[in-house]
Amino acid sequence: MKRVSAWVTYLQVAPLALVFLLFLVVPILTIVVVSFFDYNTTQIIPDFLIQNYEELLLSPVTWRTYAQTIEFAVITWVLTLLIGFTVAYFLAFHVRSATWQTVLFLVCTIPFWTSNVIRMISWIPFLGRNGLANTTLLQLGLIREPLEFLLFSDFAVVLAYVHLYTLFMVVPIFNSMMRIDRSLLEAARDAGATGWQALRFVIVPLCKPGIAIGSIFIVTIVMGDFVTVRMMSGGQSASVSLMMVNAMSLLQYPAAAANAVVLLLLVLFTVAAMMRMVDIRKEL
Amino acid sequence: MMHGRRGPGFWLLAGFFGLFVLFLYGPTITILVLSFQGPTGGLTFPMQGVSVHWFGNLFEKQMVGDFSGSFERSMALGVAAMLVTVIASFSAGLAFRTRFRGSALIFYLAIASLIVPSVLVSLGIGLLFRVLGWDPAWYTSAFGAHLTWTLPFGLLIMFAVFNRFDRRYEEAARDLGATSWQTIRFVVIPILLPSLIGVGLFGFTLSYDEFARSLYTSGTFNTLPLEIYGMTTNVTTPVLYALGTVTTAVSFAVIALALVSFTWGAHAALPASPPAPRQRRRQGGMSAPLSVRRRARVLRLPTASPQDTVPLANAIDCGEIDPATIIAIVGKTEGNGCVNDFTRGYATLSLKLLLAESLKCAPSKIDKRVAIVMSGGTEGGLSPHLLVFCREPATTPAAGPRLAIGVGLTRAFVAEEIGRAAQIEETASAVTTAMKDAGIVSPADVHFVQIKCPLLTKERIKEAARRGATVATEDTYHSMALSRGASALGVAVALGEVLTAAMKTNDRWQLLFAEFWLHAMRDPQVREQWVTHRRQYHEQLAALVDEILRGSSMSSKLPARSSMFVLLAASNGLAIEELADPGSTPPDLLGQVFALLTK
Repeated sequence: MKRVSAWVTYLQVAPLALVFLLFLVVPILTIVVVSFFDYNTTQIIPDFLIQNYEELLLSPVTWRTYAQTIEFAVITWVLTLLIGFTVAYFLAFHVRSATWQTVLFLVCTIPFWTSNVIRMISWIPFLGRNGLANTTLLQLGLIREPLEFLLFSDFAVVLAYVHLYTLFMVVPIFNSMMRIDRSLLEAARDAGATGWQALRFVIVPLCKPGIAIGSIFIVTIVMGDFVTVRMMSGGQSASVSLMMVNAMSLLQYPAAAANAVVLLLLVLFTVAAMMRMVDIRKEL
Repeated sequence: MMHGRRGPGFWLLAGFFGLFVLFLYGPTITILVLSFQGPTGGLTFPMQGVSVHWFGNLFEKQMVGDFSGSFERSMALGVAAMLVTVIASFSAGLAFRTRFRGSALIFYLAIASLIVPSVLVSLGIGLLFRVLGWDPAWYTSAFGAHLTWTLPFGLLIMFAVFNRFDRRYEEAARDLGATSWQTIRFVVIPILLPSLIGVGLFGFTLSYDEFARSLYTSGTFNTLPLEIYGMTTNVTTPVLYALGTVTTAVSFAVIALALVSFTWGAHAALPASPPAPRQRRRQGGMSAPLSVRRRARVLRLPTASPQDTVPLANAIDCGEIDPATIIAIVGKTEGNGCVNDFTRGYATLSLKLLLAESLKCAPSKIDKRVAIVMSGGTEGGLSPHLLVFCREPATTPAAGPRLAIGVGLTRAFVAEEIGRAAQIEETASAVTTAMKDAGIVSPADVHFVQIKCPLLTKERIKEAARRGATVATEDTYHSMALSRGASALGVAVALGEVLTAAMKTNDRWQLLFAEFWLHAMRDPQVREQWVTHRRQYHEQLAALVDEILRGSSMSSKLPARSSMFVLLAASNGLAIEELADPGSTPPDLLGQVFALLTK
């Protein structure tokens, strides 16, 4: 086959590269630069201070907030992994007709195409003090008083995360599962493996790339989230991004930028650790 | 694994899946119902009557902020993001199929763009605009911010799509002479169209629903998610649900559109007869007498194994190919292509059996009807396949030059003929027959000659020895090379391309050439072709003589053309004398003649 000349290739990739350069690389560099700036109540002053970082890292509030964010991330990760894997497994191995597979897969993905804010709001009539859940439980006589922890709590935050983001687990794991050569499963069966053993020793190892990709999505989304925490905890829980957004609303841009740099490093470090498990480029 | 009755495991998982779906949709359905709450109703059940009161409320600007304005902005932004995402991702997807410097960097930037929390991207772009003193706006900074979210998804989807794309479609297009652009336009894009639509609509919804990346980038005017978010803090009536119902309805409309166009796209993607790719040829081309109303057709069918005749059988069954029109099948099998590669014979036999069945004749009759050329050696980029050549009756004569196919068969060769003059001669006359069969008059219109030639096996060599004959080589593998060489020369003889240079160094070639002269003079049609070439040859030689004379500051006693004939006649005559009695002519006699002709 004729080789495409190099400049055609560069021309093809140029629009993409340009967007990333202008709207990702340069802005991130701006954050890093601004994080060393000085500021007062009205403006930011170009400077080179490490004061922003000192104030951030010496505050116990920062550490508590980071701990809470990581906790949310871990809990959400475990739940979405369990649910996502099970759903993907059902779709990939138990739904036999390709049409039904597509239809059910679409059923799972459609909510993802709708607004997150709306999907969070939609929990209010469900979980509120006079919501469906409490009313039903009261009527069944299972509880005497409405459960207060259902809405505007950490529980609600995790519930919303699972509701919003399990799809990010389902899709890559389903993708990995669909790529498994079905004859491997026949071979496992022929070699005497039980269904459980085939799952444990054939399917799970071969799904690792999908699991890793899904995990990266979940962890980074939860670590960078503030909308869900703010809406679903009713202002009772905090997250790193929420801290940052609050600093921004007080016009403390350099303080927010310093926090952003720390959060970015944490996220990149976590992702780098996960990437060691899988060569994403090979797995697409 | 996938057979038999469904066990309890299936029902357990199905139940789990059902609950998951309920979990996904339940809340949305709840607010859908509650958005029709009566005017006196609240944010939760019970319903105080049913009304569209809150939808009416939604469109009163003062009540809930700028709903229609933000909706229009989000739609415009979504459409723009969709277009850029499709184009940039597809184009980058093409680029990433080749290795280029910086590909890893751009790939990791795309990954980074996905994993860097949205709020940081938003913050960064907001800060950048502030530092530069620019005003952020939804159509500049927010547009860029959305692209950093939609493009990585688009790129990753394109990777996945291209990894699954069967490159044989492109190979086939190129084999048929399509240019790179034609290959992309008529082959790649139609096949990938559903995926491209998918990428586009995915990009649209990602942008339409994006909140965090719009936060510090949208400037004065809010996009819809920002507007909704603002409302959640200060609206405590079911108008919020009405808004939710309306935006979700828009999302669902987009999804429905996606599915409809996806299905439509999948059907429309492969037109029954795509525009013919431009033939790679010079002017003149493949002319055929206008009286011949025939149309050549070539199909490429992939095969899974040497005995795989299913694709051809399917093509015959569905009426795509009339078996009676097949004149040749040329294909590649999985074998190694060496002496003992039996996949060729195996594949040929399979094809013969299929054709015999379809044509209702004995398999032995197929040899005369259809030329089957199978060769092994599909290592590397080539995949096993069959090229089926059909010659169908056409209703109208062709307007211009077009593909014409002809077949010619030699007699069977005995072992000692393989790789020798007899094979060359026989091949030459078979090529002439094939040209007649195709209706091709000028050798200049012949663009491709495919030959299947025999090889020597130990048995054939022994058999020849028993008759007291010697073969060209005792090495069976080498015999393949000799046989191919003889065939190639046979083609060259028929097409008038024999190298005179080769003839000078080997008297066998002179002999062959002399034989060809006789052949050409006996057969009027061959003669006609040959004379055309001969005249061109004369012109070129005359020009060469003229050039040499001028370059050497000599002048000729005769015109250049006459000198040429003298030299040609002398060299031919000398060649014949040398052939009969080697060493009989004085050395450099031709040079002396040349000297006599000049002053």
